Amino acid sequence: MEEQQDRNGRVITITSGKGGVGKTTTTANVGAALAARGKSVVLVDADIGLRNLDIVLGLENRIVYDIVDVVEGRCRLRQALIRDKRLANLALIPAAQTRDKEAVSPDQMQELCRELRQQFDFVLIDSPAGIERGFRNAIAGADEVLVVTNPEVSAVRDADRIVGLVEAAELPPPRLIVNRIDPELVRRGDMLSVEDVLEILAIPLIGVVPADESIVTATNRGEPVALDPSSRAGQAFRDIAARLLGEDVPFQPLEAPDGVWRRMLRALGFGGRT
Amino acid sequence: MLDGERLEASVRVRGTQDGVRLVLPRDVAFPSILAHVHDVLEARAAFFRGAALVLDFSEREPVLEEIVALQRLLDARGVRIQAISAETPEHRERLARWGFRTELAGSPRRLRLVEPGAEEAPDGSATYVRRTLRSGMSVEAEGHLVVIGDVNPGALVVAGGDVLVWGVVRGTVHAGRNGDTGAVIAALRLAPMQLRIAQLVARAPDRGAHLLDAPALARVVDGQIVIEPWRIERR
Repeated sequence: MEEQQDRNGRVITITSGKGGVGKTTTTANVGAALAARGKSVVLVDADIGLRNLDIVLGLENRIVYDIVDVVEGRCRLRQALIRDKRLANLALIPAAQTRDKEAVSPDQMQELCRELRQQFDFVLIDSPAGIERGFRNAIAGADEVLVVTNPEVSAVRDADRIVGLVEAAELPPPRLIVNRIDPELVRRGDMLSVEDVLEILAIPLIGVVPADESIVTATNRGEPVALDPSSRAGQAFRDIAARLLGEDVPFQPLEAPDGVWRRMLRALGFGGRT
Repeated sequence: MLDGERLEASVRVRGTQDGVRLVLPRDVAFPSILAHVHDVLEARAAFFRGAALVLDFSEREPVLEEIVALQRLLDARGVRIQAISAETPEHRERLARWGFRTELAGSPRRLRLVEPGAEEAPDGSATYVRRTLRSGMSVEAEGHLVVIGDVNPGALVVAGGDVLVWGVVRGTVHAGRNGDTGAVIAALRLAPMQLRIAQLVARAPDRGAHLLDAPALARVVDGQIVIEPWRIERR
């Protein structure tokens, strides 16, 4: 009985089309960053059958009820909400692992979003890959959409498809997160740059997340990098959260981190442009 | 007084590459010309409404009062005079001195001949799409197709006639799908996955697909699709 008044929160769906570009990591980290800023946040894992968000947050062992239990009325919404172990104002509604996307309808998702937005400032929905039922469920109750892509031709192609579908659903133009950009590869011309991606997608940019090994280890440990003040990727996620809050945050300069190896090469005269 | 047939021949309406021309005869008194133009406008009101034409004095000596009378008549029916032309340099000079344009600057290339009385242009009208076509979207048109926006990779555009893209073509465009090898594809930038004109197919090079960073036009030359940059100064 902690929340009485309607918070009238924002429902934001994180999607991508292509799988494996970092939707779930983005959802967890942007959510954690918003929660660290004092907002009440609930993350909804809409990837029914391929439950992941709980693992990234290190909350798998706490799951009793899931999203399908809620929409089918087997439990109350409150019972399915898992409170994060680090941030008191961050919660998760896990996906069902033993069911599939057809277990939830777009109407049910809309209803769920309506209930959640009364209790939370932000409702972040982690969309499954693809453009089918799972995706349509994920955007059914959304006010805004964030599209995650990698600087790869196939990921950008799928993101473009998704942007078209979001526009067709009469939602506002989605905002773009370019994830796993490697400044060194871009510099060598071996990777699409953020500008290349923007030229095709032509939607507003809300975040650029550098490729960062620490994300892999943090994800495996169930620790959002957004809570690690020394992580460059974590800073990028915190910046996205700040931009969602309407703050005008400049984009971090995309330089390759000056590692020992590069410094040594430069000392030997191989450093190239700095 | 002229009989019907001679009257028919007095003022000629010609569809030309530059559009519609109203050609005035040399030896006919002006009042009957005025009457005839009036009849022509009445008979083909729908065709002329909102049109712009060239008033061609041909060998007839231009007289300011006649021009003014014709202009008033045409104005009343929503027809605009684009230019007034004449056969001899002296006559053209005189028209220019009065402040009229004597010829159209740079006639458009592929303007189709439109004969008065024809219901519509031979290829039908153009379809107009004002948005970027993203991956997975497709648009088909019977006639010409105009896209204001980009055609992204994974998008497909098909038209019976020409395709004009005011944007970047990165996807696949098919013009003249019913076999019209005269169809063209024009875009602000052509970096297509594939272009098709009639039954011909041109695809992007597998390696080093470079982007022609200029407006360009693709057409069929000797049974092959060729892409040429569009140079404004040439035309």
